[in-house]
Amino acid sequence: MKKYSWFLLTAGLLFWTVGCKEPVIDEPIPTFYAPATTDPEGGNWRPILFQSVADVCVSQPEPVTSDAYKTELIDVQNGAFALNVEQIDAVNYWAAGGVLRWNQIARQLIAKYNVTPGYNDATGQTVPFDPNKPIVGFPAAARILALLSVAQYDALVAAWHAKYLYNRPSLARQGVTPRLPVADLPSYPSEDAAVAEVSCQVLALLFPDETNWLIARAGEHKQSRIWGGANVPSDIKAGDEIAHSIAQRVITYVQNDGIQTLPDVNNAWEELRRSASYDVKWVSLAIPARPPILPQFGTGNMWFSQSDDFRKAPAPPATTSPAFQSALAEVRTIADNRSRDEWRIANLWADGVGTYTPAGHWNLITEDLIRQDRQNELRAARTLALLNRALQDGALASWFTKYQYFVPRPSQLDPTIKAATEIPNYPSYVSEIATMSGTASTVLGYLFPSQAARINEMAAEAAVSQLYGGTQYRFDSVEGIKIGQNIGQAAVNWAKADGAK
Amino acid sequence: MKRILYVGLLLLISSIARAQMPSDAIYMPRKSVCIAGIYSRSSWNQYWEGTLKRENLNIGTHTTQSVMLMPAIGITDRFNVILSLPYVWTETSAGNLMGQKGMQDLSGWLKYKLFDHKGFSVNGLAGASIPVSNYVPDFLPMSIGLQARTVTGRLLLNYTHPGTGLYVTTHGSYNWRSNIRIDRDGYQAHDRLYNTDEVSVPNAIDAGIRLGVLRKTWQTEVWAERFACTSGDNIRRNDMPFPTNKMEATSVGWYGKFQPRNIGVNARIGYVTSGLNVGQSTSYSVGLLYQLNF
Repeated sequence: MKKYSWFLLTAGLLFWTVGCKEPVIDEPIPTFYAPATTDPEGGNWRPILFQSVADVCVSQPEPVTSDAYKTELIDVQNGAFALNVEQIDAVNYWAAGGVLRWNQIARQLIAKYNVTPGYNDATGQTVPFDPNKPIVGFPAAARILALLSVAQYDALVAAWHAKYLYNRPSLARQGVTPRLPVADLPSYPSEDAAVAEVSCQVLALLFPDETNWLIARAGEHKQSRIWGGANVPSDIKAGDEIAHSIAQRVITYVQNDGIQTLPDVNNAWEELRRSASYDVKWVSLAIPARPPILPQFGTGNMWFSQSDDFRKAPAPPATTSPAFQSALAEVRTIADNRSRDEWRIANLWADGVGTYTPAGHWNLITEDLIRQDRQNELRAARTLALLNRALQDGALASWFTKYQYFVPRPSQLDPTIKAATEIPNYPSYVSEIATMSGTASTVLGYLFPSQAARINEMAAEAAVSQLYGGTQYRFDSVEGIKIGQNIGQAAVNWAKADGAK
Repeated sequence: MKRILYVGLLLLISSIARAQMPSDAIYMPRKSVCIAGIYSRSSWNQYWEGTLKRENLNIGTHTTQSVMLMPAIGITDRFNVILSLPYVWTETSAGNLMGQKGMQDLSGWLKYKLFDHKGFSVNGLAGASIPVSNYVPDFLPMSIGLQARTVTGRLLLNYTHPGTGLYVTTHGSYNWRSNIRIDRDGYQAHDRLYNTDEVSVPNAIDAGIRLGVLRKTWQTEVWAERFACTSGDNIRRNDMPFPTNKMEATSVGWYGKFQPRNIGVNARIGYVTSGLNVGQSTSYSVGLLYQLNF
């Protein structure tokens, strides 16, 4: 008996020891990389919100021979010896890439604000909208990422333009050993400061309650470049200057893009539904029924074309048609016999409430591609600006189409169909997930040709995912991919002519 | 809500243990095996979303049922091995979420009487469980489990009055729960975004106290139990539960067993009186016991 007690005591102690340690999540740690190219002609790339970035004024820097500059340089050199742990962590964190870090921050905010509108059980009304706490649904998320990426890209084109105009040599060329891999670029103005400040201002505009937090992040980002021995304070200040001009332009754009992201408090959508042409019309399957998400979103400005053909998918088969009946039967069959792999696919691509949405998901995928290609800040911003403008157009097109037809979800017509995800509270046709997959894969296939096969595989899987989930029909995906690819192609045409090689 | 299910299962496992379970001080004699087959049903129509108690019309009443096979093996008179394997299925009375079903987790306990004197005993238990099927862990509250591997250390004290069979039992345990992997590339938890498919399931402590009478052929007791994660986050407002949630539940109930010969029956009822990120479930189970002697 003694040996058992020995065993039990030892085992118990062992379990206790491991037990007291909470499990830790190992997120993949981004590897630092020196960018593959410096793109000295980047200042001539085509900006998005400007005719020419020469209009963005950046003051002439003090020459490197000036006393003011020499003092700055010595301070940076000396400061590098006295960094504390937090400062070193900050240097390493932002060294993973300012464009990508701010893209991550935007995804995090989108997930945080991607909530179901509150509902007051007593009055039967949705909780009044608070403009400081926007509810970021699916299409609004695509717009946020687009605005952020456009601002970053324009700011970086302007920064590159000024860098090669003034040619202040990098600190590494002046005997400072940076703590991180740094591109061999002229250091004035700081591209990191431009990205930090413009990202902070755009996101603060969209998420007013986060302003203080964003300002703190941006401050840390800028300081990290001084701590890391990559910039002097005057480089940072010039980056700020650029960011202010660009942010003003973005604010003007946001106010005039005709996109309605406020809730439809007067229930204007009911009139849209009355005038829709489809034979059986969508009703909310939520209990109690709720108004659909952002019914007027789809009529706003698109980035690549304003034509109606661009945003409207062809009419879906009527519910009485054999084509529709077999599509509905297919959803039912899959729902009744859903395999584990179909579950996985439905889960992976649903990106519903509480997530960064499908637009954020494609940004995550793109982040990985950018790292593999070791793109510099400017190139990374260009990639994301192309992708996210196209994704916003894809979201707009699918949204426009949804509220032209008001096609019901499968479970509305056959309540025995049970879903693998919550049923999104808006009409089914055309699939927004398929549309954005078609868009993203077309843009990314062009920018990362060696990865095109893998990207297309992911897009095809995403497109049918919600058929597997039981919330959409196959024709939702098929037509979604088509309009998505069309939009993606328009973005590719833009990319072919923007001056980048 | 999933957590509710999990708590329900935990409670279930403990309850079953009455016929020499991980929560009692009863031992199968050497060279004997008691096999229990147990059906359980647990349901709720209100749950705690964080601290907010609410109903959800898109779920209605959520029900978890299971059947479980549970052999308790007497290695010696003071060392038992207990195994259990449940088949679980879930459903809701409203909404469109697909119910889940499948074999859940195989668990095993080693139970050893460390000290025994004049009706007072100190018992040490070590338990572990592993998922035996590839069920979806984060489709809460419909999932049948969380896919976490667990290891549990438990200390159990008992005093049984030799003359009357009146007893009091108390236990406390620490449950270590492994990280899990979900089907997604990223998720939100603890107010931040994780860009990985790996999810940390919080560890938990549980404790219980039972008062009852144990006789040769029958047993009856009332019990109270507490289950609480040591960390974790709350369900976000109007959002679904997630495996990282900090689940807590206090429950009370009754357990009884009648086993005049080799064949016997047991039954248990339980009710969650307060909780955090769990459903306020009412549960019952009935079991058939069969003892084999070698």
